[in-house]
Amino acid sequence: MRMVIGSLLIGLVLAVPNLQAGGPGEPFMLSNGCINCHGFEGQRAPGAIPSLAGQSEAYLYKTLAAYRDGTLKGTIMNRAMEGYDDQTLRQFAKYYSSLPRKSLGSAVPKAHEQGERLYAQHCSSCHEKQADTPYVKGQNSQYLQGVLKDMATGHRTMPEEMASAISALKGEELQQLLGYLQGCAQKALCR
Amino acid sequence: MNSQRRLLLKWLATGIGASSIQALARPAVPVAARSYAVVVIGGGFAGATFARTLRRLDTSTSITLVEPSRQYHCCPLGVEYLVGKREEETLVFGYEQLHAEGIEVVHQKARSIDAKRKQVNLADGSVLSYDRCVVATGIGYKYDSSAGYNEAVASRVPHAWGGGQQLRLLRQQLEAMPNGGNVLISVPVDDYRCPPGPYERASLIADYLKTHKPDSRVIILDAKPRFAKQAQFEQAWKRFYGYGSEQANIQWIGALQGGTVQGFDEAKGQLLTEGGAVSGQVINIIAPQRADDFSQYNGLAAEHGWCPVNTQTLESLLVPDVHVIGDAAYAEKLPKSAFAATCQARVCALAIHSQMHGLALLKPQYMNVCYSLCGDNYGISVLLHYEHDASRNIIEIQTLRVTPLDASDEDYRREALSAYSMFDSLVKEAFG
Repeated sequence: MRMVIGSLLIGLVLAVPNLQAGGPGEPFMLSNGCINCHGFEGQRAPGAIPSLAGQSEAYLYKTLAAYRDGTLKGTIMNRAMEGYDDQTLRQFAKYYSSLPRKSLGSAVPKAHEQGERLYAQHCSSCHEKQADTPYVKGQNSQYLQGVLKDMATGHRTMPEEMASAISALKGEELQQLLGYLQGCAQKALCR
Repeated sequence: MNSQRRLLLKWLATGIGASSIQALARPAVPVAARSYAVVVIGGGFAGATFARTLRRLDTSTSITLVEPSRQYHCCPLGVEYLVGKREEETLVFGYEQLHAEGIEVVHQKARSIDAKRKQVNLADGSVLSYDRCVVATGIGYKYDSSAGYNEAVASRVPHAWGGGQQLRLLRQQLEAMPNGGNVLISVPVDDYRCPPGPYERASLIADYLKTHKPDSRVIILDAKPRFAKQAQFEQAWKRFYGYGSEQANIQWIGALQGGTVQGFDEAKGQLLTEGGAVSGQVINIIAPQRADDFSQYNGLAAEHGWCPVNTQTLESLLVPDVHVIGDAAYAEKLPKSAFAATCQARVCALAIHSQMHGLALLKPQYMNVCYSLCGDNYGISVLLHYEHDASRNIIEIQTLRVTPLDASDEDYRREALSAYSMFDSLVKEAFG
């Protein structure tokens, strides 16, 4: 509502440093630069850059803050988040978490049934139910591979739960699991 | 804080309904003004992104995109086509999705803007009326910039600074060049489209020469004393192309070393620089640039050649009810890049939406990212944050951050992957 008043005295509003809360265009304006990589709807074509739509607010905030603070090392994301205050990062997190994620089809092909079972058994309790954990079904597989590589090489912290979940999997099972997630990303096949 | 503002804030705190304030805000424009007509001229990244963004904001608005070509040949990643690493089809996009979203796409050349009547005249004699006109017609070339160079010469000696035929021609010339020949790239002073572009082009040409014509060299003759991401480029060149050595496949001669090109001797195949004549078997003169002819002829461009705009709304400062976005716009201090152009497109769409509905203007947010490929699996990037300064009408640079010089191979690989990934999303946002 403060922005509405602003149209009476545009000059005054421009002097206000942060975007004002209110209108529907506002989170959109705030994320203007983000859109070129992450998409207007927070959903992307396949590639190295992740979709953000429908990720949990807590996870998004935690991740963006970690990029800003340098505790999570990316390539451009550390530079992209530089200088944003907590309030703005929370706005980003709230906005992207509110966007609907890709709807996944209902039929899982036979090749991925075992992968789906493994996912339900080892992954979904965190990745679908824990607030500060990413939703990985439908995420770009090239991006996921990068994250896993970073965890494997110690460039990104792997949570203990995840380490123990992965250590319970045989090599072949891990392949089936990743194949399933890849299938989700490429063809939106999962439930 | 002045007293007026304090009063307003106090007034706000009493909880006056938004609708009544909206009605007060712009009495001339009805709040429920749902339908208005926008004519967009130019279907590149800026124009297409603008049209699709406005469509999302205003579903019932009449949006017409005027673009003579049925297909858009884009510039980003064109360098990969140039050196045979990419098919041309991957750089060509149509307007089917825009049409499907209810944007009328007219494949005509726009001839003129009648600002008084608020009409655009098309080459076939038809006339389009608008409430707002958005011009996104990009760059033109200063063909008279150096002796011996003109538009006719450019049809044989390509600038290749747009997609399509010019790029094809340069590729053919590169392929036909015998081993041992030199490729010359003449780089103009600012402002021109894609500041790091000439150096990315030189990098991938060096990569091509190293493999296919190892005794050849690409020589950059630069009218500037330094260039974007210079340390990062030079590091890559040293690493991959012997930069600085006798056998180097790449060489840069800056303005301080006499690199400024002053003339062209087509018969001898020489660029005439401050430091003397330089011979090349393939010559790529990236001509100095300005806003395109349409902007010039319609009074949108200032003496410096670009179109000054209000940096909050992208409205022309010279012609009312016309906005200019993309490379033609003089929106200091944004560079001329697809990234900045699409940021402008969205700021402009939001501004027009707000103005047509009597809503307050938002503070514009801009960012710029440019990825450059330097070789296989090796990309570098620059990211700029901006702060809009309304009082000076300047989009001031807040931070400028480049890929660190101590980045790992994995980082460079991921930057290259991100370059492709960003390209895909820029295209998806613009063309669907």
